[in-house]
Amino acid sequence: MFEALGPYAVLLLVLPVAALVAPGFYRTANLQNGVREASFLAVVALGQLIVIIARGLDLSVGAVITTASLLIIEIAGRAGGRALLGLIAVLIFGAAVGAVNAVMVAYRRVPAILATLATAVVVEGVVLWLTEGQSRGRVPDLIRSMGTGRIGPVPVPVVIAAAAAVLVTLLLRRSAYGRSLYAVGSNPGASRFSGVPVRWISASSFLLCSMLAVVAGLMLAGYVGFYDRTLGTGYELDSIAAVVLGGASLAGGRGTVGGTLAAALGLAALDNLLLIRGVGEPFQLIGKGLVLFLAVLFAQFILAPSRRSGGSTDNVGIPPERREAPA
Amino acid sequence: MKRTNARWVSLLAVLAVFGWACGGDAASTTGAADTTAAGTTETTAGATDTTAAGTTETTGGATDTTAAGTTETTGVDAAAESNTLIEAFENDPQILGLDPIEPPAYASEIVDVETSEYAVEGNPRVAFAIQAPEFSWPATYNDAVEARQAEAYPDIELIISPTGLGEADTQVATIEDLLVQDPDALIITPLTDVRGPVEQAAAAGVPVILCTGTAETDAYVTRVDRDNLLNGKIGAEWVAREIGYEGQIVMLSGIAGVPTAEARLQGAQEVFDSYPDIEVLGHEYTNWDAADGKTAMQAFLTQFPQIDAVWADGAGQAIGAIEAFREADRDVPPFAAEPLNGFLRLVSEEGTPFVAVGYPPSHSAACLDAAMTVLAGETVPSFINVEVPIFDASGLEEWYRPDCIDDLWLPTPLSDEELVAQEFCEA
Repeated sequence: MFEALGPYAVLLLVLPVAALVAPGFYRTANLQNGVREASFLAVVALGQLIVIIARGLDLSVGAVITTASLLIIEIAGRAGGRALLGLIAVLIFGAAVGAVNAVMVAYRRVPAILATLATAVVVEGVVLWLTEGQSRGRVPDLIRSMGTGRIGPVPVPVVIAAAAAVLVTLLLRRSAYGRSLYAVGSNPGASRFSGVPVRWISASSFLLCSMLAVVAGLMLAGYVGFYDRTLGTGYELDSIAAVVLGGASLAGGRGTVGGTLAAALGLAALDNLLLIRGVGEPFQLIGKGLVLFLAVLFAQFILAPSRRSGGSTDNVGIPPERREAPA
Repeated sequence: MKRTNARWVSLLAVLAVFGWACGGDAASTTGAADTTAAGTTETTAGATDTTAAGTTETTGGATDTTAAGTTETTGVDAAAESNTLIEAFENDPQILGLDPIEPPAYASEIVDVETSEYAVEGNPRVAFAIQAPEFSWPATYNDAVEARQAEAYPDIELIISPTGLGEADTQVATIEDLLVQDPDALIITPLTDVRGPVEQAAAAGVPVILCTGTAETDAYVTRVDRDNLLNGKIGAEWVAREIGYEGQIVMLSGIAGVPTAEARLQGAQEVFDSYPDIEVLGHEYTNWDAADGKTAMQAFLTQFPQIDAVWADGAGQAIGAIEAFREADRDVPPFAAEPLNGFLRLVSEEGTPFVAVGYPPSHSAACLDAAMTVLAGETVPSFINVEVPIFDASGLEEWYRPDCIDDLWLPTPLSDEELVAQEFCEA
């Protein structure tokens, strides 16, 4: 029962502190902003979750986000631009990046951290080459509403994130594909012998992750309304942090949608609190790092003291082929 | 066997791509043709005033008296640059009807630097450590250098090596790589603490020209820049007057620790501190970036029911901040920022009072000019002023280009034909 609270550690730290030091945190407008920012991270983190469950890691999501926003602006946002064409191009782009990651990791056995880093760097280079750093269009209205629209009091990004969460939950919990993902992540060798198409499962996780990053890129493009060269920067590591804080293991085979969402919400709440408290840049960074650190300690020693002896995370950092199978 | 073949093929493919990439790089350095660079008489721009008649007595310890014929072509010297800088402090605020600003002590400390030791016969090789063209400002900056070279110095060899803002820590290595190529002069756009490489170059006898930025050393020959303290102050003084010297404002800066941003912030803070009835509600660093500007302003908007004006040191975050006001359905208050076309579009749509204090990327061309002056062995001032446009809503008609993209910095070094050809503007 305590273990189930781990993903909420950041929220449990941030919410009471916010009440004490920044009452403005609880204003409706601020909560709406905070939840909306959390939903961008949540969509990326859901994709990252799928990859991490299958024992992968995707560092290219940041580059995908920035590039997706640029493509939609360049193709659909110029005079006489076509929104549909832009959307199709962006989706093809996402699939292409995912496919490259998939082939490199699942079929060529390049470590995911290297393969996806390489993809990210190449994508950034190609973007620079094509645009020379300058965007020539505007964000089309349809995409703007993905970032800034509201349905009643609920921001559209929250609706999109909720829909993505429901779909990923169904995928992980209710489908054979989901069961295979967990199986591949916990023990690829055994999965292979029991007839699970290990390579295909691993490869497809990268495709799904890139597609979700594309969706996040469109949402963020709509939110900002302008081309921003650093739009996706930081989402690689923040999304991994959200997934791991949410209870997933980098060794694969574990992780839930609920935990990931709670952690994403916690991270966004932390950013928001530091921002509205106006503590200044150095203390924002120090504060963010310290709270993350505290959250992990909090989760380990207070919420789940029994995990002190470790166990589930023993294999982190050990190459899969040298890992010992669970007894 | 098949597997081995695949490996060789992939190795070859990688090599081919790598070769292509490097080849492309090499092609961008202009080959030095034989014609001598006679066209270098066009010296540094900037000095508009022709005060300081006693320019022949050079202040800096000038011992040599070489290149006597060149003195007539230099329109600038230390006294003139000093004068220009002091006058910028006094006159630029008056463009907006503001009171003159007290010039800082360093405005009078510009000296003449003797450069005859750097004189080069024939076609020099100039190395330029630029900022990577990751967004519109450095993209224009680079275009301006290349355009200037093509126009005025077609025969020099220009080696360009970029550094991204996010990887400023690697700039030192980039500059060291440039030095290995034995350039006759080195131009640096400082994105980090470049003291080390500047001193290293000086020790190797390579003259260093700092372009758009500064370094805490005096080993460089000259520095081409706009005074950022002044830019910060002008924006802040305008904001203060706009709100009647009382009210609540917020401040949005660029990147913590980047000298350009810190100097502007210091200037603005000094101004706001001098008005006791102005309260600075908050200050955030925003990476000069629309997304961060919007997020920061949203947080301010939920916290502060009244924001009377916004001081931003750049146009990127100002654009994001205006978006935040729009989305919160609040009136956009007076804004101080920079002349980026998208910012001008937003303020003109909103009818918001604003001031745009320029920092035109195209002044990189003046840095190339300064390097060529040094390589001609002519005396240069230790600081060369860059003129910038400053305007408020009354200048909108003159500067705003409704037919052009948001991401266009003004003034642009491109001609109207080039703007259309590069799809920056409609025909």
